[in-house]
This record gives sequence, structure tokens and C-alpha cells, in this order.
Amino acid sequence: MQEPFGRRGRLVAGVALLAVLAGLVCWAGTIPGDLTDSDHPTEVDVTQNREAYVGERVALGGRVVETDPVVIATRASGSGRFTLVNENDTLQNGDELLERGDSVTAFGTLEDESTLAVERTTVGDTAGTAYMLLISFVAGLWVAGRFARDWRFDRDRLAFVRRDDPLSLWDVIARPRGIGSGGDRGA
Amino acid sequence: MIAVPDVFTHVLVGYVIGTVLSIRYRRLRRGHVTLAMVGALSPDFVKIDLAMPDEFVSYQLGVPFAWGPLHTLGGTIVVALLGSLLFAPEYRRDAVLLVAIGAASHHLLDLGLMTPTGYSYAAFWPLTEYRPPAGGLYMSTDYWPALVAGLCAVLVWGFKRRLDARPEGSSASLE
Repeated sequence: MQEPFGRRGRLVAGVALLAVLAGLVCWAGTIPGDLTDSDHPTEVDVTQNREAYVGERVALGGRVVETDPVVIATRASGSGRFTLVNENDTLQNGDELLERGDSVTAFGTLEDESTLAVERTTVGDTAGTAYMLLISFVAGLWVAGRFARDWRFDRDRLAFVRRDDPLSLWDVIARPRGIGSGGDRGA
Repeated sequence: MIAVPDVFTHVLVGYVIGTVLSIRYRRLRRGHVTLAMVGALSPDFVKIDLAMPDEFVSYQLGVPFAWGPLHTLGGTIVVALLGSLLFAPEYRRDAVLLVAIGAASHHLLDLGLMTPTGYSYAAFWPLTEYRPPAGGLYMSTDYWPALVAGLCAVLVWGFKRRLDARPEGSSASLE
């Protein structure tokens, strides 16, 4: 199939879409808060300017440094301390009481400059995070591998075209010079 | 406060959807299933932020900047259209549709996540900055979503293999 609007049309469409994407990412830069997260202030905002957030709903992430009452430190140095109220009753992903060293995010209303009335507590999972990162990396490799097996870049058409038969490891080993067409049987 | 299900679950769901579509529409082949998987992964292109944080890019370019739109409706559509231009014309329509379907599954799964605030992300931006309530069904660090998705993937893989082993013409075909 020929390019419906010629190569120039394809180029114009690509540049236009890139411009739209550039517009979106620059626009997003002017919006307070993170689009990929809730728009509540976090420990980064609150710790350095506590009085401005008293009475507001905020989400504070930190490590438990005391347990009776539960106090979290939002900075790695152990500073940026906030006392949590009602934290264990609102734990949404566990049954056990919070312990020293637990990584938690507490969401609620900042009652005063050092007290958070918690509506929802989420405890971090170190092993789970390591698993997530590892398995996500494997997933990325899987998709990249499948794409390389199923599609090839046609230099004449400057476009990806589908291989009729997936590229196999043997194709790559046996025909190292034919990377561009290895395993491609008439795609 | 990162709230994304592991990429593996997303990719498995993309595989399941792509394979089911390839069973329904016989002209869709293995390569098309891969496109659905790429789509299911595509909103997580936003993780480029880990290598090049917003502040760094903003400082380098001298303009406000955030990668966030890549993980929203608007960014997803632009990425699907842009990606489709990389393919030869005869594959473009399928590429847009399959990548978009995969990306939609990604957003659905992410909206089901448990988040620290109980609210999700601005999925429909730039139409609205509204954050829907989070589904609260699973954590990004849970193992079971990948297990369930993996089981479904094995089932559709087995079913597809059985279908492919049948002689031509004995299965329903639309095209």
C-alpha cells in the first residue's frame, strides 16, 4: 500500500503530532500537582511549610520512628516528624500494628503543625517493591523481544512491516549479516 | 506514592486481549497481539521520568515541563497515533486500534489500584483534571494480579493453539 498522502504527508502528520505532544507536556508543567497522582499536598510540600497546610487534607509519606503514639519522619535524616492519630484503625493494606521502621503513607487532615488525623494509612512493602521492579523489567524485555521477532524495519519504506514468520534465535545466529532480513520470509 | 500495577500484569492483560481478538478476527496474527501488548505498556512510558525527571528537562529546556500527560487520555491517544506512523500504511489502522485498546486496559487496571489517598490520577486529562476515586482492589506490589492475569494468558494461549491446530475452514472466520 502506498502512503495515502505521500512521504511528505506522513512527515507533516508526525511533526504535527510531536508538536501536540510537546504542547501537552509543557502545559502539564504549568499545572500544580502531578497528573499521575492525586492532587493533595505531600510531605515534600508540607514538611517545609507546615502552618500553610493546617486544616488541609494531605498525604504524608515517611518512616515510623516511634510507635506510642506513632510518629513518622518524612526525611531520611529522621527529621520532619509528624504524630499520627487513628493510624492503625485506618490501615488499608494490613492487619498488624505499625512498627518502627515501617514505610507508610498517611492521608488525612493536618490538625496542627505536627499532628495528622489519619483517614487512610498505607504501609509499604519492600519485598513487594523489589518484585515489582524486577517483574516490570522482565515484562519490558518480553515485549521488546516479541516486537523484534514479529516486526522488522523496512529501510526502503522507512517503516515497520510485519514478518510473516517470527524471527527465531537460529535466524540471528546462523545469519548474523542478515539482521535486517533475518527470519523474514516474504513479509 | 507511585501507584502503578506491575508492568508484567499490564503486558499479560494486553496479551490476553490481543489473543482473544486474534481468535475472533482471524486476520490478526501474532504481530498484532504484540501491538496490543505494546499498547498495554504504553502509558508507562511516563516512567522515563525516572531517568529524566521533570525538573531536569524543565531546567534544560527553560520551559515548564512534566511527563505526566503520557499517562493520561490525551497523551495516550497522541502516542498511539504517533506510534502508528512508524508502521507501513497497511498496518496503521490496526496499530492505532490495538495500541489504543491495550492502553485503555492499562488505564482501567490503574484506576482499580489502591492508593494512599483513595483517589486516582487525572486519567481523562486534558478534558478534565478530575481524579476518580481509586478502585482500591490491589496494590502495585501485590503478587496475585500477575498470577490471575498469567492464568488467563495460559488459558487463551492454550485455546488459540488448539484452534490453530485444527484444519483450515473448521473454525468460524469473519474474514
